Amino acid sequence: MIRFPLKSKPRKFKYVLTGCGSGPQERVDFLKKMVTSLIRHERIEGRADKMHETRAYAEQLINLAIQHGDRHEPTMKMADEWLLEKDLVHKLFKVLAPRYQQYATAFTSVHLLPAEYPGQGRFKAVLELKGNPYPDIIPRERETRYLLTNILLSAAGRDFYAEQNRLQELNTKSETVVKDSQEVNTSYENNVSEISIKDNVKVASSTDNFKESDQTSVSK
Amino acid sequence: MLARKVCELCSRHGRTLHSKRKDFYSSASKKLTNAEIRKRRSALFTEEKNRQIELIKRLNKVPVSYYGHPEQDGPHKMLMNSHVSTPYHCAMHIDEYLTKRSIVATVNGEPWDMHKPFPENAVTLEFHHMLDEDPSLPNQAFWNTGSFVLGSVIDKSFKDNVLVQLYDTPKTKVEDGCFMYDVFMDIPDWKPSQMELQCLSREGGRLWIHELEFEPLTVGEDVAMKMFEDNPYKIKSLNSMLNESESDKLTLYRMGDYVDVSTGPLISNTSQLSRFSVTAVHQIDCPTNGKLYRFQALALPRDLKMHWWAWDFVCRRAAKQSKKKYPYRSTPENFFPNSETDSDREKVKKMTGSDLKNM
Repeated sequence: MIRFPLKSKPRKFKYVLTGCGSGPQERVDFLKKMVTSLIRHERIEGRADKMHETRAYAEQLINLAIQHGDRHEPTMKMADEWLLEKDLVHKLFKVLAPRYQQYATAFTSVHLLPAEYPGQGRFKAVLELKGNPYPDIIPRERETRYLLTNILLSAAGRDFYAEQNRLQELNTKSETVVKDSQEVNTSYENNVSEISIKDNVKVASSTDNFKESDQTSVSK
Repeated sequence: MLARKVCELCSRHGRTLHSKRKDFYSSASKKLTNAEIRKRRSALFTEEKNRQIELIKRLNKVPVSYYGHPEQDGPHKMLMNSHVSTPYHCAMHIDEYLTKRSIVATVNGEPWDMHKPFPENAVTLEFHHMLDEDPSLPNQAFWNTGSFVLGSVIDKSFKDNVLVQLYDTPKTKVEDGCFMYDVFMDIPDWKPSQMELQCLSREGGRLWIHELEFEPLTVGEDVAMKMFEDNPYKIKSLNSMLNESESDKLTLYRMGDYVDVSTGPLISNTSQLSRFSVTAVHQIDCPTNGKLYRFQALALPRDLKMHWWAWDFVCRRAAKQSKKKYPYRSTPENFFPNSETDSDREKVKKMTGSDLKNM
C-alpha cells in the first residue's frame, strides 16, 4: 500500500541517458539506478519529476520487504533485480524493514527546491528516506507563544476586543431605545440601563449643536 | 591657634559621627530619611551575611552535573563547595554566555536563584533563560523581580521629606499586564503628572547600567524584624507571611543597597532588565491599612524586544485600574480594593481608624 497520492499514468522520461539505447527499458534502468542510490545514501537530489517517479518504486520495494520478509522468493527476486549493489539487499531487509514496521505514514518525503537560475528554469527536489541520520531539511520551529512579550500582547489583544464588543452592544441597545422613544412618547420606565440613556442624550445634543453651527455658518 | 581650632572642630565632628554611629544599629532611630534607612538595612544585611559565612568552619565538596548547552558527551561535571558556591559560579566555569543570559536555575528540579548557595546533597543543575521553549519559570521570576525593582524605584526616587513606607505586592500574573506595589506615603491625594511618572520610569530604566546582583539571604524572624523596624506596614506583611509559611525563616534579597523580602526566585542581574515603565498610581482603600497608593508598572527583559507601538498599547492597558481582586503575596485571604457598597466603606473607616491609633 502506497501512502501518498500517485499519478494515474507514469511520467515520460525524455533524454534519460543511462547507457546505450532508449525507450521503456531505458526508463526502468534509470529508475533502478535511482532507487539503488536512494537506499544507499538515504537522501538524494535531482529533477523534481524524476524524484517523484523514483519515490513510488522505492516505497513499493520497502513495502514488499515489510510484508513478506526475507524468506519469500518472489520478494527476494524483486530486491535482487531492483538493487544494483547487492549489499543493499541486506540493508533493505535488516535495517529498513524493521525501521518502517510501525510507520503509519509514507516512508519517504520529497522537498521541492527553488528553480535553478540562471538555467533552464527546472525545479529540483530532494528525496529522502524518513528517519535518516542527517539534520532536518526544514528546521523545527521553536514555540514562541509563551514568551513574555507574546503573553502580554495576546492578553492585551483579548482585552481590547472584549471592550470593542461591549461598546458595540451598548450602541445597538441605545439605537433600539431611541426608536422606541420616537414611536411611543412616554417616559422611560422600562429596565433600560442609565448609561445608554445618558449616551443618547449626549449624542442628540451634540448633533443639534452641529446643525445650529452649520446654519449659522451658512447665514454668515 | 588655628591648628587648635581645627582640632576642636574635628573632635566635635568626630564625636557627632560617633554618636550617630551608635544610633545606626539601634532601634531609637526615629527620624531617619529613606536613604539612611536603606543604608542601615544594607549594613545589617552584610553583617548577617558575614555571620552566616563565619559559621562555616569546614568546606564540604558537592558534585554538580549540568546537562545542556554547550553540548558534549555526558554531563559537565564540577566539584563545588556546598553552602558557598552558587549556580552562577558553575556558569562561570562552563561558558560566559551562560552567566549573562541565565535568569534562574533549577537545582534538583527546584527553582533556585542564580546567587543562592548549593545545598549539601548531590546536585543536578539546569539554567533557564527568557527565550526558552517553556519560559514559564523565567517569566515568573522576571515578574517577581519587576515588583521588587518597582519597590526600590519608589523607595529611592522621592525627596527626603516624604516618608515612603512599602507595604506589599499584590499577586499578579503576566496575563494581568502589570505588576504592582502598595505603598503608604504621607502625601494626601497625590495624583502624579505624566512627567512624574516618566521620572519614576527612568529611574527603573536606568538600572541595567549599574549591573547590580540580586543577592538572596535566608534569615531568621528576629533579624528580619530588626531590619524593617522603621516600617510598621512591612512588619505586618512579614508577620502574615510567617503565619502562612509556618517556618521561621524568610528570604531577603538585596539589590545595590536596597533590601526587601520576596517569595520565589528573582533574576540574576539588573543588566537583564531593559524597558521599565511606571504606568499609573491609584489610591486604594485597604481594609487593614487605610489609604494606600498602588503603583502599577511594566518591564521587559533585555532578550525580548518590542515595537514602540506595541509597547505603548501594552502600557495603556497597564495603566488601568482593574476591578479584579488581587490577593497579597503574603496573605491568603482576599482583598477588596474597589469596595463600593456602603457597608464595606464603613468597615474600611473603622479599620483605618483603629489602625492609625495603633501606629
